[in-house]
Amino acid sequence: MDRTLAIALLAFDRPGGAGELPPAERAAFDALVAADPALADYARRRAAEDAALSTAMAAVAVPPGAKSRALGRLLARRSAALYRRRVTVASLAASALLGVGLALGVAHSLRPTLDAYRAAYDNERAIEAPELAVRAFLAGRGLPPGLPLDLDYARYLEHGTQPLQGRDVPVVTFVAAPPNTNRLEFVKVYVVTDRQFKPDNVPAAQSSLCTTTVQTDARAPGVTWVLVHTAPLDLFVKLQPRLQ
Amino acid sequence: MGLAGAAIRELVEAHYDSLYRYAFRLSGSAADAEDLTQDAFGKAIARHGQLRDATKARGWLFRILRNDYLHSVRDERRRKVVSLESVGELPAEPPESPPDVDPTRLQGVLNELDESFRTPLILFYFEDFSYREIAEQMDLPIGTVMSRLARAKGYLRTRLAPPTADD
Repeated sequence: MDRTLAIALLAFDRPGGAGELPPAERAAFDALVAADPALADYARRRAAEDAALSTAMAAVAVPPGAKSRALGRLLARRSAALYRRRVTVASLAASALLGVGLALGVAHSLRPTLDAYRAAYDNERAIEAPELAVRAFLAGRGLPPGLPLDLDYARYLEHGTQPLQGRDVPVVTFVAAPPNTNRLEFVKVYVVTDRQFKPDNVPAAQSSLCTTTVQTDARAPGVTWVLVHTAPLDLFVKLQPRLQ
Repeated sequence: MGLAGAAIRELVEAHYDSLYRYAFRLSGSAADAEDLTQDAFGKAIARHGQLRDATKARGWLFRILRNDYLHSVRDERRRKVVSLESVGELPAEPPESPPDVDPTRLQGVLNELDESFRTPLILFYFEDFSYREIAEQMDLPIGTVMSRLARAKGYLRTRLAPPTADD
């Protein structure tokens, strides 16, 4: 570092501070100033001038009470903003409540009228062509339309959904009256999928009056047929198992 | 949610005085300084989520205040009285003895300067702002800040120098 550079740097030296030079350059600068009395005098005059200007620059009296006034206004403004926010939230909540009420009202008014003819027609279709009705019902739910055993649709009673462990499951029911008894036996075929139940191997089971038989088919992955029956399945089966 | 009341109080207590002084030196008016200071706090409180580093609150407040000031005087800036380009060579020599700077006279000279020269001068003499911080405040390269500062200091020295026998 030479004298010319040191003089240039002095123009940018901070009043009262160590400057913003890297430490090594600052050390070289300080050494140069210390070794040169004229330069040291120049630096002293610069620093004195900067100090005087710095003092004068900061000599601004803050008006008495200005800070308190500002603080009071800022806090009041915050309170007003909070109030406005609360009113807005309350308005939005009221609007949401009104919206829900209107939606419920609309939904209520859009309930379908009970069609007695449709109820009769649907049951009639099931009586006239039960297998077609069941296949359409299962296919409509994305399930294999056929059942795992060739159950005798002459013994068909009904189809629909029933709760199984709290989940609605499609089910087809067949009934039969064994010879020489007055009992009515039944088999209910639940069609369950791995979307509703974990697809772990389900074992067969038996209670006092009912037996559960489980059927799967490699052609229908993810589907399990659970047959709950009160009599041997032979009673309800017409032919050998099939799946279409 | 906005800043809590205690946080607002803390912010104002910590920075009001220095912000007011800056506003006064920028605007040259106590009334404007009070308005500018309050507006800067109001905006900072409303946008406090933008401040990532709480240790930079001071610089952030100064920047908000300057932007407000520039906005408020945008129509007046065209009539600034002194162009430093027209001043010519500025004295490089500091005075023999420390000048006795009258703060009111200093304000008068500051008012003669365009804001682009006045702001670095004020921030420089407030001591806490580094060149880099001043450059960030003004969105300028650091070299431009140093150049403006050198010219503004020279102008200040010329205007504040005691009259000579030739004057």
